[in-house]
Amino acid sequence: MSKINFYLLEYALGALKREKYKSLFIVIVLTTLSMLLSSVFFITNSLKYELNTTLDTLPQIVVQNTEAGRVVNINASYGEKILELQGVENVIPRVWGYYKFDRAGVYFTLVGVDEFEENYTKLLESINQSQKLDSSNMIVGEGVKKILDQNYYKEYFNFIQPDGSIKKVDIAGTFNSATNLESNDMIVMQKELLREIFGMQEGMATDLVVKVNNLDEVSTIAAKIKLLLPNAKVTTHDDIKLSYEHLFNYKSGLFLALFVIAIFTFFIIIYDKMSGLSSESKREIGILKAIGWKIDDILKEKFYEAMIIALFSYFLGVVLALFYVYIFNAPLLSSIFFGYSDLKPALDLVFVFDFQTLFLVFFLSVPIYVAATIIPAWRVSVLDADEVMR
Amino acid sequence: MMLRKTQRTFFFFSLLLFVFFGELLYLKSDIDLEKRLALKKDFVTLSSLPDLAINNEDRYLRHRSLYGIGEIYSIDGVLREYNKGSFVVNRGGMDE
Repeated sequence: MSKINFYLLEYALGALKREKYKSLFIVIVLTTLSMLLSSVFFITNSLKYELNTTLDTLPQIVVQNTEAGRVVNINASYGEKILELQGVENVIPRVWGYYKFDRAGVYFTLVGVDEFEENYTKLLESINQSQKLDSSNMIVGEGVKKILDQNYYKEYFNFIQPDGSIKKVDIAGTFNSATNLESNDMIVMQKELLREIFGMQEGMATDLVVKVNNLDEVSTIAAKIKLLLPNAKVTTHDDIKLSYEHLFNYKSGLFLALFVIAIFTFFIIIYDKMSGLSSESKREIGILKAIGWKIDDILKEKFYEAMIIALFSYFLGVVLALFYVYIFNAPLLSSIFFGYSDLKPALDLVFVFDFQTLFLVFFLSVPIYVAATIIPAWRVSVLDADEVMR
Repeated sequence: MMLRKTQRTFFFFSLLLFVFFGELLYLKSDIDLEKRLALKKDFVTLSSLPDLAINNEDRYLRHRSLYGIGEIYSIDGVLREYNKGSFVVNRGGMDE
């Protein structure tokens, strides 16, 4: 393996210095490209990681009732039928739904919990205060608290029930901010209270969650539930996982469309570079050849030039992307992943280091630029020195 | 033997790599990470609704268990929702 030729390297650095504005412009374009691309991949990877981590804690099957293709409440007694199926560990009727707070134009997600359910005690670990839920209070996400505060509901909130009457519910506390990405728009209260707010009949539930003992049996049990309740929409763990993939591919695809424009500009610059060297660069190669440089030396020098610019831009882009995403929490870019509602959570991403992302960004920027520098130089350097200089 | 410009470039690259790896180490050493993830898991276990509160205009996102069911609403002009994700769930009696 041949060693680095420091004289050639020194010459390459001199050449870059001579064209410092051009070099600086290319560094800025390349750095921006690698930064943008890395940032989107970093955000996507972190969100995916967070979703997949919490996905493990979910029930394996969710059963919803439909009527004419629309979701309607389900009779909780269907749970007993499902419980009779072999392999089903338990069935919990859930009560939850959306509440539109018209004044602020936002939707809250209301979730009912039952103190007899196994997970109830865990709630206390997730919240900032020790007050327990009772039949007249609720715990809200930070986003909800902010919106309510803005509308002067500092200690309680008046829910408007379907019959037009008002139900006053006290705010017992907020969720720990660490759960913000999950809990931002959520309100948790007792199931009975929630039924009252939604005007839901006793014995009805929004849906049923089914826990299965053996994970390998999930699809079989889902098929059996479908047979048992033909109107039901049965969603398994895997369906949810699949739809996550769907979503993130769509969202990052949206960004990639923007990226295509940026990369297109980059390719125009590359094309311009490849379509021929400037007369000055040609003359330089001609002189180098005339004083005895071999084609090999010229190409090596050009390679050094391109590598210095491309590697520097790549590393700088990745470093800036890490700062931008994980330290500054990706301002502006996060809007692609968030909606335009007022209930936006603060983006607090879990750091996930993924070599694949770094390689992908590397191969999209460095080799392309290096090739775009070497190829035209090679075209010129194979000509005779006098022909080039003429 | 390294020349002056080369030396400076090597120094510059070393500095950049040092910042890069330093940053990675700093981000990796998030001592609260496990605790935060455990809290998130607790919350999702409690609510049994997994999706992130990051989106309010896409019907597929929140909540995933309703994936696909809101498709008919995109063609329903009666709904006065301000965005696609805010589809209505019929709660028995509301649409009568």
